[in-house]
Amino acid sequence: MLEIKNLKTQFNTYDGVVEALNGVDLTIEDGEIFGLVGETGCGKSVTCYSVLKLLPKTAEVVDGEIVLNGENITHASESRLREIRGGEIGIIFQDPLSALNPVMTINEQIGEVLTLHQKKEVNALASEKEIPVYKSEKWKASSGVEFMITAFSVFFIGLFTILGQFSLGLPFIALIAAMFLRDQMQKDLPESALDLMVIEALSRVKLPNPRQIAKSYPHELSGGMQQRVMIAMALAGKAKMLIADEPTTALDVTIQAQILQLIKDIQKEEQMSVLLITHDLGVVAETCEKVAVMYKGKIVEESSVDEIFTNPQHDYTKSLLNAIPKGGKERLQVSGIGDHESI
Amino acid sequence: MKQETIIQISALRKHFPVKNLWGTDIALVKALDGVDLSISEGKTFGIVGESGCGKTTLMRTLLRLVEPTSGSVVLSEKLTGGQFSSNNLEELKKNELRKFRRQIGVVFQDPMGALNPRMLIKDIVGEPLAIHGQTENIRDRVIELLNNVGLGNEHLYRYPHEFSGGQRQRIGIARALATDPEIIIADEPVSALDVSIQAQIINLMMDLQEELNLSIIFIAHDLSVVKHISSRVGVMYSGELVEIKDTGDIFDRPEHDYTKELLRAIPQPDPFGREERKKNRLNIV
Repeated sequence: MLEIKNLKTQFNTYDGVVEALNGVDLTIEDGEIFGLVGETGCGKSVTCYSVLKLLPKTAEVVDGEIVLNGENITHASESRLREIRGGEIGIIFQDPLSALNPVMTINEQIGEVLTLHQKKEVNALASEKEIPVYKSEKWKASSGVEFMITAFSVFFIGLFTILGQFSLGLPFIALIAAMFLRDQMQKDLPESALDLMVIEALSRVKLPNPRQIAKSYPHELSGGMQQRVMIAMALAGKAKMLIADEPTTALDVTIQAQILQLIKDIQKEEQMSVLLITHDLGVVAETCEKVAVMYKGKIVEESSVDEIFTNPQHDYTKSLLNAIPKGGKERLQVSGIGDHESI
Repeated sequence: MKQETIIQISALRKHFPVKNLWGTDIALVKALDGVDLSISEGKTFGIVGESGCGKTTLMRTLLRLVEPTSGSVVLSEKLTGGQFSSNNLEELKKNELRKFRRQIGVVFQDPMGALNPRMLIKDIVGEPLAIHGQTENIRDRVIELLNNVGLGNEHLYRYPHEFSGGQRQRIGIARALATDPEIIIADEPVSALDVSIQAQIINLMMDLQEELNLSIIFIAHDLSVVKHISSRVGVMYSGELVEIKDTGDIFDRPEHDYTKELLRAIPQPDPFGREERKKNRLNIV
């Protein structure tokens, strides 16, 4: 599915070049859950951002090859990358609240993904059920323009009132009233094909009452629900591969178990490949089939899950396993790791 | 050996009213709903529960940062020093409250948010001393504290952003220890850290506890960490402590349904038998 060969990524900083990735080799097969573990700053996230070219401006991929389904995408064009992001590789981020847009409803955000990657399917559904593709709202600009018009009108009304020329403000009051009336009249439009697709996407991640959730804003949902929306969004483009960058770090244990189970179920249903980035070895043991351990920008060990827990080869893997609290009163062994701590 | 009780909490309640636009109460959020708890001297008490169950409100009520609706918190002789007008937290006067707060150090969850980014480390760690009236030898005491948590002289004149997450948490612990407290309240101190760094911080807290005979209230949602560090564990669910037991008992013989669900939800670092665990989990959901 995805093959990364000798990937090297550098960050150019004022203090010189930082080599974040030092020759990473990874192969993810069709339909497997692949775990990538390592401590903070070892390059886990940089690896997945390098694949999707979501790196900040100071970073560059200096060497290596990224092959997706036999196609070399190392130097893919921006338009091709847009098709890949969301269309072929979906991504879930660590903190769902900062990954979702706070001023757009869930409906709008998932609708955006669908119009980009699933246009044909949406059109097909529309013609089949004889409903409009989009919500046919008339006389409506984008939400930013609408807001600007309202803000200016209120400003002028206030200005003219202060100047004692209230009558000059009347047209602006009429404008606001007209906008309000328009919204009221168009409130009960029938559901469009896009709406139906969004609701379907939300029910796929087992969200209760998807119609209600589609209308709400991200801050109105709980952390677990937000993460489910993120997963729905990543899957909406019918991606064949999912990159999950620490999807459960911000969540409680009980919610974490639910989200991991959801990812596993969906992976099985759709035969997807999943690259699960985490620093929790427990999460890896629960979900993954293969694991790679990363340390200082390199993959130091790669094997099956059973193998890595019973017979770790590399010293770093051993010390990671030793650092897990097991419930005795003895001190935890931390030798050999975190030596970058001593600045 | 019978353990001395250092704080005795009984039937503690804290209800937050929800108000509408005109200031009338329309609902009550019961953040704490009858919490009974006694904390032994020199031991670690772990509190676990999901987010929003009232763990942090409990911590804030213990410091009287929020006033409890009802219930009492009785302090031991060791905390009051026999010089307060009452040993009931609610009846303390303002200057007594300030003296009492010296006995409790708090370590917060997010080390970056808890340290002022514009203050030097020496000022951050020294501030509690200055507030509680110490004027001399602050620098020596700060160096001593930093050495205690595994940092050194060279860190005095640095800003928080120059440190890694683990080091910042060490600074947070040094600051909590500054006033020589009897109790440390750690509010999810390791949930923002990696496993390896987490292990270092847990070790540090256990070492300090032995050295200074501290009582620790350890709040977390990660059960494996709580299991490692605590001698008694309380499970909190929607404002109530549904189960309080010794650590071994709670993991081997959980009684409350919520405790059982929590235990099943922990991802085990053991790939064998995960199918078995999955079956168990599905029973409850």
